[in-house]
Amino acid sequence: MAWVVTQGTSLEEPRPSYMYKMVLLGSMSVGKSSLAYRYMRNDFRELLPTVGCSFFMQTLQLDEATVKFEIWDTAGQEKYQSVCHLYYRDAHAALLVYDIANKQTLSRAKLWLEELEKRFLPDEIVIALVGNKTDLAAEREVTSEEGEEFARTKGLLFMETSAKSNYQVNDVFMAVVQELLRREKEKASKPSSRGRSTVELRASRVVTRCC
Amino acid sequence: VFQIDLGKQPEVSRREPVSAEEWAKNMDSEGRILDVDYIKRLIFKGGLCHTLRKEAWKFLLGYFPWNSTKEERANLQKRKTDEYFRMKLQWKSVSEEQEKRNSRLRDYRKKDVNRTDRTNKFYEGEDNPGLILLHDILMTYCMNDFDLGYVQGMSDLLSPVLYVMENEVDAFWCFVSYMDQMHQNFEEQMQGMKTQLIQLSHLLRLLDSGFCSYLESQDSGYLYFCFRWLLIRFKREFSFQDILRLWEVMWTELPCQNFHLLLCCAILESEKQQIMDKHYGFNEILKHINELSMKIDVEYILCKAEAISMQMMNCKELPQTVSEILGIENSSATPDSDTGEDESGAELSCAASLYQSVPTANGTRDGAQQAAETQSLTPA
Repeated sequence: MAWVVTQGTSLEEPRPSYMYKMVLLGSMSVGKSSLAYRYMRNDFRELLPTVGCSFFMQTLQLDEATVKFEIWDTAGQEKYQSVCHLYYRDAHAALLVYDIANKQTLSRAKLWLEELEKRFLPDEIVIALVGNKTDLAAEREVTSEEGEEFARTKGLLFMETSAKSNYQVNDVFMAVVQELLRREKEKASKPSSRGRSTVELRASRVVTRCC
Repeated sequence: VFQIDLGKQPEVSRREPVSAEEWAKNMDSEGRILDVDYIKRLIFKGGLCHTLRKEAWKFLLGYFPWNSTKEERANLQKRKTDEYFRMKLQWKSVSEEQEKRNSRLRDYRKKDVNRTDRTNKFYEGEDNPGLILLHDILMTYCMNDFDLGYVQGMSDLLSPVLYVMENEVDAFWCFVSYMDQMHQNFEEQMQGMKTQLIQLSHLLRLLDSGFCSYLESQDSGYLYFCFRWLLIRFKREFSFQDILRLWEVMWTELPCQNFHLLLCCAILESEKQQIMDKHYGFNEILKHINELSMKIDVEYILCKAEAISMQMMNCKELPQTVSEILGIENSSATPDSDTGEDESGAELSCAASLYQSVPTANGTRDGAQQAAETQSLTPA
């Protein structure tokens, strides 16, 4: 997998720029689009069920780097799984989202993980397991411990969120970015044989439209 | 590679939407439509004015037979109303416990319905009557088609229909007819989607093999980026008002079969330059196409697609696969849009020449009329 990286003109510009593709996967109605919408617009509302895929772009000016973040939001229904692989192609990160008030959705997230494991090597992709809808605490079917334990055994990042009440949404996206940057650093310190493609970032065409 | 020359793309103009007077003038005293082909042709060229939609869509979708009288339609509606409420009662009387054990019903209950077209006034706000109807119709559809179950995207197809009908029963039966056309898209293996993508690639190759080769070089030859267009007939690509126009034009089944695929070709051809100039790769193509949503001019794209249809129908060396997809020459395959409701007469009356003379602003119709002669045997 090609890490799309722009090192900038390293002499004049100390901060490197990275472009990352993140894909949101999970059952239908677990809140994938709502997480993206909360993160991008800091708002919550009823969204159309995603058909195919929709995109969000975010540019983050961090201390250590400029990160262009492309978020690919996918349709959750099982029937659409056959086309979903098109969307996570070349992804650098994935959020596997489930609904804490619906146990089945965790099983589905596990299946997604198997799917990703078939297509990516562990160091090729950062995966976070996200238990969404903590606002539905009264209807909880999956304990925090259960989610956390599963994530730990599989080496995934883990966080519980609520897109509705804006709980830890920004945090989970930031945790993924930090992990991606940590891996960048690690790789820089021990250069691998894998070639890095240097790609010029397009003149900041920042799209924050959602469908 | 041998390249078929399609010639220059003809200029096409569109007309005003069909007015209430035009519609009324084409009806006899018993409410029978006099010249079905003529009226379809008018609708194809200009769509319908909004007040007419509630009535005309019932014909276009196949709920009302074209040759029926007003009285026959009233009887049909009465019968269909009973039938609808019988099916509705079936799910209404399912207990909570029963529902827990029925995954199909549970799926239908999921929140999706509440997420349909919420920015449209008709479906705005909590506990909106429009939303409740949308939900009830989809639940009843489950009783009508147990095997299909609920698929994301179905409510997209229903919402404009319900918006126009403003009536639960009529909307349901029109939706049933529409789903008869769209059913395959939603089936387990998505066979309808696969078939359409293959057909689209045949058409696009004929139109622009260079672009096709480019897409192939970017691993995009399967045209998956058109998935959403095809699945829900462009519902997410245009504004709600534009979709009403686009759909009624498509439902005329003019000027050929699978006109929606030519609409895809028209949009793709409009984007080709940018895609190739900027050398977009797999991800960028997907993204670019996705972001066209709400940016396409519906009248422009209808003109372009019609022009492409004329190019293809005038082509003397049209590949067999393409003529079969478009249903021209004496092809036997035609889209199946009728509901099977006492329509034997309607089918006959539709089989006449598709191109009656239609008054248009300029004389650009010659090509189409020529083409019509070659396809006048196509059953509609």
